[in-house]
Amino acid sequence: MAKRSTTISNWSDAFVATQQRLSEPLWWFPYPFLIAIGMVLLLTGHLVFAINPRMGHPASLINFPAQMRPDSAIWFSMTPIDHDIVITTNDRLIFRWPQNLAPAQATQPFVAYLRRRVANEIDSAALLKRAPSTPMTVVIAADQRLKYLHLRPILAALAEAGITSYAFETLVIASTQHGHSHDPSLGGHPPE
Amino acid sequence: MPAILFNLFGLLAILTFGLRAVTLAAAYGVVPLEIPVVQAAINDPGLHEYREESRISLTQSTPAVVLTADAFYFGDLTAFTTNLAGIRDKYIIRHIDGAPQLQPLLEQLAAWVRDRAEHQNVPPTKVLVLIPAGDIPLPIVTQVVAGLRTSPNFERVILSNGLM
Repeated sequence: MAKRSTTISNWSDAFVATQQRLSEPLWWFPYPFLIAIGMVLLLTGHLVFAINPRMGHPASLINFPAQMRPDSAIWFSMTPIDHDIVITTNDRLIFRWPQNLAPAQATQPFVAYLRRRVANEIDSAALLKRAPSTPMTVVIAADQRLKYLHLRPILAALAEAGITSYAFETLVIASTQHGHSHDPSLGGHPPE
Repeated sequence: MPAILFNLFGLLAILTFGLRAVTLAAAYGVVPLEIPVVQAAINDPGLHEYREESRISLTQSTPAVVLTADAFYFGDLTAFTTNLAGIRDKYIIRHIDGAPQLQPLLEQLAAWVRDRAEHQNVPPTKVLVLIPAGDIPLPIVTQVVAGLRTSPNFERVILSNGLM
């Protein structure tokens, strides 16, 4: 009985102490809030982009086993958003034009960007005195909802920028990474 | 209370970042394609008279595959350009329940290329032109390109819009 009364006394003391603490102003209280906000700023402003350039890109890729990405590449994602095609590059530039009608003028900023990137890649290779083993490739992370007609302005822009090699990016899931590619929707016989 | 809510949102943002980071796949692959260029000889007296030479050229007999919502059509480039109205130089492999039949296409293409080489003296080329219709979803185009590249007859695939 004595032990039980001691426990209740401890609990009531703790409650009273907490009540008193909460009734007094605590000037250190904003600091955890500032720490949390600071961490969010750090993560979204630096670490997220540094860890994976795909973070924040809304393109949903297909799961499909394919060869690994080449060394030298210009990467961008392609997503349909609000009746527009939105291009997001790995250096966080955004280009946008209508899905149905893409006049040549709409893609001119994107063509200029591609030309600038190609020039930068050539300058970097010259300064490093190292030629990439594979030709400069543009990797397109295209959303699954897109159709081929949406790709046509992109291909025209690549050709106008003088790029001859491009590729579609796929997500290689672990179970198919070393396996044989087979999609039942494409007919044929499954691998044995 | 607002500060508590801000803290909560900050914590959720951090947790979301962590969950997103751990659920992202670590491996990405690519399905390569090419855009053909026009060969142009450029004088290069400064670099030991280096000359670029084409390895593969597109000709009238280059194989072409048209992908529509109903079927695959294949033939040579002439069949789909200057002789588009001709009916005896194109072959069709229909989709079954909307599913493209890629494996039969590869088998028929291989037989056609072999037959042309033996009977019509058309040398086999390692390049193929794919012409998808505009309403074909890009995942289908990607998988068809990857499937065509698995054939030993074709190393390079060109999408029709890449033709300059």
